Amino acid sequence: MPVTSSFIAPEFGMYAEKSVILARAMTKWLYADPKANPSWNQPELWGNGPKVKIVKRSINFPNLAASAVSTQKLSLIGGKNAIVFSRMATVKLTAIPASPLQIPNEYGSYVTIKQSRTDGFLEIDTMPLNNAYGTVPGWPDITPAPEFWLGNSDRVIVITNGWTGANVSVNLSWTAAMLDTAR
Amino acid sequence: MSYIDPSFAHIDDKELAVAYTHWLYSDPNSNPSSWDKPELWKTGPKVKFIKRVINMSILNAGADLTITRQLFGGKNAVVFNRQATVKLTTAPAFPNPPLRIPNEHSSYVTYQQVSDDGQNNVEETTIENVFGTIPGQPFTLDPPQLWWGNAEKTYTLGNDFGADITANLVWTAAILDTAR
Repeated sequence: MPVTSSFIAPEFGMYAEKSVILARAMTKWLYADPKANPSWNQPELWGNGPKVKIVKRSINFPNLAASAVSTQKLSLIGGKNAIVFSRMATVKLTAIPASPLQIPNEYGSYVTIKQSRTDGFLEIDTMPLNNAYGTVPGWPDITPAPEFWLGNSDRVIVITNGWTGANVSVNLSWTAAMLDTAR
Repeated sequence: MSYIDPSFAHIDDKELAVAYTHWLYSDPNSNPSSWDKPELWKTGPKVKFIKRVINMSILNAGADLTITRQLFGGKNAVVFNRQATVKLTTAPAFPNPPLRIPNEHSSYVTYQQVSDDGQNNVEETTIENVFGTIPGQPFTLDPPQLWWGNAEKTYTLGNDFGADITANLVWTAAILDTAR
């Protein structure tokens, strides 16, 4: 029988102002996950149980040569359900240039990303990183609503360096909510 | 009230949220198993946000390039925003001249969008006036647009700059994911 609960985690309370439906769905997504919560099927205990934590997770693609393609698989929160709020990327020359730096991520137009789930669902078609991730510091890419990432669904991320002049290093980051069962 | 998918629940206008949910869930191409069984929608497929792209490389000044395409594989979609990258097709010689800011050539590229019934969705204008060209700041459609699954659109780019340019046009949309 599906677990039902009206409990809203305090960290999601601001969403309840706009939509109780969304706040409850986000809470249930984390609390009803057996991998994240030993009391996943006891909603009466959720209020005294684990707490939501907001974390940043990263994956790095160091030292990509011109035209190089690098593929990595990502399990964002180690197999637990997560709510993803935003994503950011840094693209820089691997070797610090002798000439002055201009602005962060000035090479972001020439590095592409493709992101899919391991079941083949294509989330992000191959496109410049500038269009998929926030590359202006402080301005993350935010989806229209927080995303529900299933814990046992990994992502396959393919980065291609389209810059012909030098090697680049790429750092991708996500801001996500997970359940912290340690305290 | 009718079912509202949690990914649309933040929309203030609940009738609009119901309409978006219905647009995706009642589409037979998106939801073959329960498109006509709304009582199953709550436990069925879920809405996912995706990014889809059209890549266009255009020759020198004065050239136009036209592409006609269905963006979402025949499925209904709700489109929230659009972004574009415009860059020189050949990356400038390194380290001189240095790159400056993304999309510094976007003032010299024009865009037009026509739907398959001949309606001029976007009259020809510079791409900056239509797409977000600052990374992280998409052009937000208010309200989000309902795109019919089997409708093609025709996209035309014009290059008024004196070198080859490449443009990547990106749309963020919600579709129904029947995998999980």
